Amino acid sequence: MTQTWKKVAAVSVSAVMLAGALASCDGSAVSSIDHENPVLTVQTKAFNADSAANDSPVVQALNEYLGATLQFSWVPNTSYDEKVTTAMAAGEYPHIMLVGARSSSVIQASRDDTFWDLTDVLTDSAKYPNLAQTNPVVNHNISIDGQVYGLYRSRELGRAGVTIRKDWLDNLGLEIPTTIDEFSNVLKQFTEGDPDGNGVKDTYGMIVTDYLDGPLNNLAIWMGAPNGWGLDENGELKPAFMFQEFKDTLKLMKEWYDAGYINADMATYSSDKWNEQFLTGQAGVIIDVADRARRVASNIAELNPNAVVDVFGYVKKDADTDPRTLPTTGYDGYFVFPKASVATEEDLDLVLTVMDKANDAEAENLMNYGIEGIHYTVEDGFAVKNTDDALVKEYNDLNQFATNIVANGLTTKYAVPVAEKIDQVYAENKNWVVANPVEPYISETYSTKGPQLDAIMAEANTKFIVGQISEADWDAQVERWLSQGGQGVIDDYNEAYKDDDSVQ
Amino acid sequence: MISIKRRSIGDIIGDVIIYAIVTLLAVLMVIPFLYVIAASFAKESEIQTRPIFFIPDNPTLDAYKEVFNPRGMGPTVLRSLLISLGVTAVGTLINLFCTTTMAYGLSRPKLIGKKPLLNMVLLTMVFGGGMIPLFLVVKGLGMYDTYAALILPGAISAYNMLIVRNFFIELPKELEEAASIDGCTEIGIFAKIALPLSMPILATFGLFYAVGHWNNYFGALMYLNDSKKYPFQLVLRNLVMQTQDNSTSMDELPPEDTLKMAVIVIGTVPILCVYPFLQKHFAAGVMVGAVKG
Amino acid sequence: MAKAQKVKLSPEEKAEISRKRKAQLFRDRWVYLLLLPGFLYFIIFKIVPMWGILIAFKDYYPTSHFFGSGFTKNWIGLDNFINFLTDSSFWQLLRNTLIISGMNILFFFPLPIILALLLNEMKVQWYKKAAQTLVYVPHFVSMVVIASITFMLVKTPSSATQSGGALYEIVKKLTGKEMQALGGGWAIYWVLLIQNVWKETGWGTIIFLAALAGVDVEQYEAAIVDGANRFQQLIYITLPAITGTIVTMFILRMGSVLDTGFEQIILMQNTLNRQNSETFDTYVYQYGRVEGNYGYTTAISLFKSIISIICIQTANRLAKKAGQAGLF
Repeated sequence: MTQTWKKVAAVSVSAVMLAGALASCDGSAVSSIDHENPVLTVQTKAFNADSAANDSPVVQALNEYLGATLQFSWVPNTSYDEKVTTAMAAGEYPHIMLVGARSSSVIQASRDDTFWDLTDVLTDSAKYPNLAQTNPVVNHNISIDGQVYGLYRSRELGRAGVTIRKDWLDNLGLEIPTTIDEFSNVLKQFTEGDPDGNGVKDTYGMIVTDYLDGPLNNLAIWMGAPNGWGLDENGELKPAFMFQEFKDTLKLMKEWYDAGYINADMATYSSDKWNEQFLTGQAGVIIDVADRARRVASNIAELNPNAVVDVFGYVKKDADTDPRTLPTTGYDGYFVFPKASVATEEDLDLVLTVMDKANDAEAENLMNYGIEGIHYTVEDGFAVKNTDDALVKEYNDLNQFATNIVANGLTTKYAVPVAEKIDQVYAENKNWVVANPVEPYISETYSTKGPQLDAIMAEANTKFIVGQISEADWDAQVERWLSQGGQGVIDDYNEAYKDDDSVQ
Repeated sequence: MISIKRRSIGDIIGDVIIYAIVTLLAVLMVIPFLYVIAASFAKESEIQTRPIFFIPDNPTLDAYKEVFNPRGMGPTVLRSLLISLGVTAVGTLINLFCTTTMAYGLSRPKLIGKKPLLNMVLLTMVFGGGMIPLFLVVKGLGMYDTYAALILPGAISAYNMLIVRNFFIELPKELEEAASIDGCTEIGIFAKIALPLSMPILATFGLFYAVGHWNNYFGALMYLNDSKKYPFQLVLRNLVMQTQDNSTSMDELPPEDTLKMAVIVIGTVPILCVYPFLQKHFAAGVMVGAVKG
Repeated sequence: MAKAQKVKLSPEEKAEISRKRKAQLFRDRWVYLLLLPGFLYFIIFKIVPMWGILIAFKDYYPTSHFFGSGFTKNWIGLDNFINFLTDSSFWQLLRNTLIISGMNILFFFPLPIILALLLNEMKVQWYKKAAQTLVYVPHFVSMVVIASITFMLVKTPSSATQSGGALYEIVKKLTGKEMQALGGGWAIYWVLLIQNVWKETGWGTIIFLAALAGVDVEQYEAAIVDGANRFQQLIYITLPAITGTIVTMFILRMGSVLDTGFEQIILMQNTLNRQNSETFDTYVYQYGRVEGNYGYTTAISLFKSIISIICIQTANRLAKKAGQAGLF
């Protein structure tokens, strides 16, 4: 037996040698792109089964405008991170690669000098007039150790919003709530005041799902808690749940839960079914992103033509406090330019020039709507899409390549009336967003223990609201969070904060 | 299998119980799938509001029309179905060839080197290098972005191979001896005697492998770059898996449930159709015993 | 594994043995040819990538180079293992993994055998075939669908005036208890087990049905002549005939005693049951495949492998002690 194992070991060792020979080596500093007829490979997310083909007329038109031939590699969104992580490990790099969240692998890769550092390049407004307009706050958010390694895909900052049954408010003689107390009253009336007027007490206020963090964090911001992390009285960064305002929010939600304003099964209610009880007329409020109202409105019309869906961005703690709203990070992934495929600075310049041009209105319109006159027409300054599937699929998912740093392309008109309201909510929210101060910082402790730590507090919050644990138990969970690595995270962030020139 | 002339009361009661249990189980197991089929023909609003149903109120083909829409994703879906069929067919043949030849070889008694080889196989069942080294091998062999990458790295399942080997070991020795006296080489015995006698095993593992290929999206996700080469499961996984979770980072709305259900039905039916064709080979297994006696 | 007696051999005897070996090798040349494709496969796709195991001893991320310049860097010995084994969540992960997998072995493993035996007793061929086909169906239903059907069945009421899912209501009527299937506690284990039983029992019968198809018909006929009843036929003919297959399947199953898969569990997870449902596989999926902490998660996988090899060896030895052929 031992002998056979030895033989196996011998075979394995020689195999390792062979594998060594197979493994690829680092690239050299010779240009890797043909500057006459540049061909650039792009890896980004696909949300559709049939993303635009590389030979589609829209891609051709885009190529012509950008002065480069783009070769798209569409990776299904549901498994995107797995693919990127593995491909990076195998040294399989496109010229332009979208990375999602700042996972440990992306952070490590950036530190290993895998991607071009764009910190000083992006500011060159003579060379890249569009890219120079990247938002410093968002750049700060995506930075790693103070360096910017990518070009973010810009997203709405003030995306939070509350979807609500306007006809129920009208039936009850209520207005859109503007303060926490009014909001509380709406939930109460939706539960007890028979808002659908059918004479039966068969409705409740707000649907909360197993994704408690969404509604909870929005509420906490309204109540005055910091976004994610905040400075305490000693000028130290502490997680939001260590602030009294957060605890007050939990208590408020518990009150609502106990009174039946929130669905009793919130802890196990799958977030996939978030809209369901709204659509069936059993509940009338959802706190999430404002654009949820659009989907809800178009689905509810079919079921209940009398239902009216409305949306608003926030409520204030009191009538005389300033509004506060929970922002997104302002980006949805960012494009990196791996040195393995974009070898020299001249190559990088070429790629960035293409990315810069892609922010021109003409390119943005191509990516979002296709070719004017074929795929869309312009009416009253709005793009009106031709909905023929054969045309739509010629530019399907191309918007996943758009960075929208300078959003100067056309906008489109939606069919449901609430859609315009959503845009107003975005615009209004933007003035009142509360930034997360630790967004750009990297905590070593968090990158190894993050999911575990998050799980501790998610569990404690849920259990407190549904009454499985007392306030003292919840405090004990905060202690557990601290002892299982939370203190390390606090230390990491405070250290990073002290070193951060941009805030001092 | 055998006709019994005298049937006792106990036999009849036994039969009744057995048939009742199996029928109940079969129904229980198929009910959820019936719901999936019903939902694929229903309107989205019905799925959203009715908890469970087997006959939709307003049956519609909308979901199927959308999946197969010749102007929309239809061509992509059909192409990926063809790719899946091709990969499944070729892959399964290669699987069966490699698995049976190796299993047969390892089933021979007193073969020099059998023990280390078997130990090597067992070693690989428990220890693995993980995804990255395999990715490098696939890339190093020039198989990246080719269909070979979907087939060769999984050519043999050690698990299946060992079970097939056990079947070969239990084959009657007499036949082989007769054949080798007739001047057959081991390859001859393998092809002319061992394989025909193990049709049920071939059918079983052929089915296992085929289902594995049909359902595999992960290989395609890792090793294919060109989305035109994507097999069915990968193309449509996005539709089925997309949820409304983490809506803060998602700017696309997930597809409707009825579309998800239709996609599941389309993905399941072809492989279900294969089964009855294989089923007749299971009966052939009786022969093995007949020879033995 | 009987070892040959150690006797001093004369040179002639040694030459004789070597001659015999050569003759044997030559005699089996065609067998070796048959073995070649499989042998190459295992070397190229299984043995060569095994260098990846060494990642467990490094501080390794996707872009760390393993070969070349990076080869000598970042070796951290057993740190990954120590970190994992002393991590506060280790015992919880081990406990959950063992419960989920143990329940599967205890309750799920025998079911396909029983169902196969039942199907085997059915004499009406068309009915038997139809039943077989139907019980296979769940195997093809994707986990996402099974999860959403489960949510529907065990749903608890959202408000006092609503009713819950079908199963919730039935349990409430029968026992008066409000079943929290997806809440904390042991409930989640039963949910996972039942999903597995539902999905894989029918499919699992295939291998046993194939084994049953090989049982000698004449044996039954002889037994009937001897007056054996149905149950006796089952005990003395059918079961012994498939014991080999059962043992093989069991030993193989023991090799994956720490495998729980991740997709099913992740779909059923929520904040209330996470403490009970987080397993090695879900942990490795999140930290390794998605996040890219390869060094750490490779160490976890290696730990799992060592446990499986112990289990598989033990099961094999026990099988041999019990007079079975075993796997190797």
